[in-house]
Amino acid sequence: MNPTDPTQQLAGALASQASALDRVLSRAENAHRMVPLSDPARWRGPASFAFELALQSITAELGRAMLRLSEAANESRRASSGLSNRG
Amino acid sequence: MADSLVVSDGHFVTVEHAMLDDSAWRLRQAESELSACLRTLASIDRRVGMADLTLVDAPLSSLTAERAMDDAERSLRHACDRVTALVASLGVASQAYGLAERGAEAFARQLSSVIAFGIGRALPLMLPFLMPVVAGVAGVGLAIALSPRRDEAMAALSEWMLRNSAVVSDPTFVSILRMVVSGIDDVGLGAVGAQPQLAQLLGEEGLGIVGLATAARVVFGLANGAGALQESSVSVNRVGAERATEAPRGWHDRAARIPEGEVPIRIDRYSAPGEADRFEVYVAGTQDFSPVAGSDPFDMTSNIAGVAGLDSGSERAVRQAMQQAGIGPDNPVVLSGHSQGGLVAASIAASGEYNVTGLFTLGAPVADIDVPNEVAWIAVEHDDDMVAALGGNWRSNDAVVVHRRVYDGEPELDLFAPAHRRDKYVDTATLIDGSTDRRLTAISSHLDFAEGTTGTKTFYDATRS
Repeated sequence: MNPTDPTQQLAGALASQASALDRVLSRAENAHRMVPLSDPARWRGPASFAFELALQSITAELGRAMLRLSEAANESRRASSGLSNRG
Repeated sequence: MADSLVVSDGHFVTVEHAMLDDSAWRLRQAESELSACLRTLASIDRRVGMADLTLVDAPLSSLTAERAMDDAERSLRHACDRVTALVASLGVASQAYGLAERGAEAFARQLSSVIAFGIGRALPLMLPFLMPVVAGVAGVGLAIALSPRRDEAMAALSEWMLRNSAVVSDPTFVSILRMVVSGIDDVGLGAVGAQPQLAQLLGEEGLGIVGLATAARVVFGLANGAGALQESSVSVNRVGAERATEAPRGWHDRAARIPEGEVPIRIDRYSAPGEADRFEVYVAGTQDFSPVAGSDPFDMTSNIAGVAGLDSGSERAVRQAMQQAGIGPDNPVVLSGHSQGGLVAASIAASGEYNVTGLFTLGAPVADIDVPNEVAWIAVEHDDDMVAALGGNWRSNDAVVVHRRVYDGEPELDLFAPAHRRDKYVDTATLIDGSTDRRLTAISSHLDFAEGTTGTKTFYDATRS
């Protein structure tokens, strides 16, 4: 395995990308846990509806982001191992 | 509702804007995490570019990863923008609710003050009609207190009170009672013919020169003249030997250590090398409800004297016990008390004679007491407990007031004022331990002991002589 080989360099970069994506995913999960739950017993009227909608939209976007981050990390790992095997 | 707490600075709360603040704080944490995610994602993107991937004929999965990263970044950015917007909206909503509540509360207080003043003004005219009723009630009270069959009369009175337990446990009744108690000074000022402007200036809504304490002093003076509510000297004795104890691990432990029964004072001492000893003082509530003082200083006489800001027998008993325990002006002390015990604890903290670092009052009529703001104070009040409402409206902004409604439906009808019971306040203290409210957690960590700290506990009995 030649470390100056661009293919091997890219494999290394993709492996490091996968680890960095895992860290981003873990922070996104933290952010998801920090999003408060809507408590209808404490909110009444239109404010409750608006608050719940806003929370749902944030949670949905975060869910999508986490799914895609997980996919990106897995695909990066797969690409890295594919490139390593070429060497 | 029975398991939820409302934390405030003592003022009237209809919308829980403390909850809005808590939600905004959580969202700000989420916003900070999301911003960090976006920064890291951007740096990853710069590390491996599309050009590198094309150059080495990278596998399809690396391109899929790139697309997934782009999508993730877009979603994270949307989420972050929405969180930012929601934080801003919550901030505006909280301020608006806060302002509206303060305005509504100020209006309600002024209105009740004006109504109370009007009632006071009309009192001399109503006196011929009211006199027989007042005399009758006072006569029955005195007859019960002084009768040789006092126990039977008290039992009959207790039975009547139990039958009416549901009414006194109603949160609406409790709120009205608080307003009425706060307006007592205005009734008095109206009755003596004070000018409305002067009454406004002197009363609780003005300079606070005349207030609940003044009214309680009048009651105390009148009752004294009739042979009731008479203060006396007290003596304190240590009960049993000093025993080892662990330091309290939160508010549940403190509430559960407040004595019930005949030994009303517990003092714990914790020593550490090179530091002044720390003390925890626990004070029980009322033991004797008779208007005529007996041998127990934790009685109705001390209750009224305490609300009046006078030197009550129970407060003197606790001071004597503190002196016997060796508590000096420099020793850090945390005072915890239920009902009358809370009133005593707050009065001692207000005196400034001790280094009181913490104050924990449970169901105590303490809203009128001006405790120095350096004392970390948690005051717990059940919305269905009338006793706490007897302190009137909150004057101080420095207490962190924790509200909880104990009963969603009918209270236990075999008990009078069941929400006032110490065990119900112990349950609420457990909820406080689990609360994430920043004001509560800040006070908790300020008063925490190191893990495994041990000390000694001593109990004290008090007697009137």
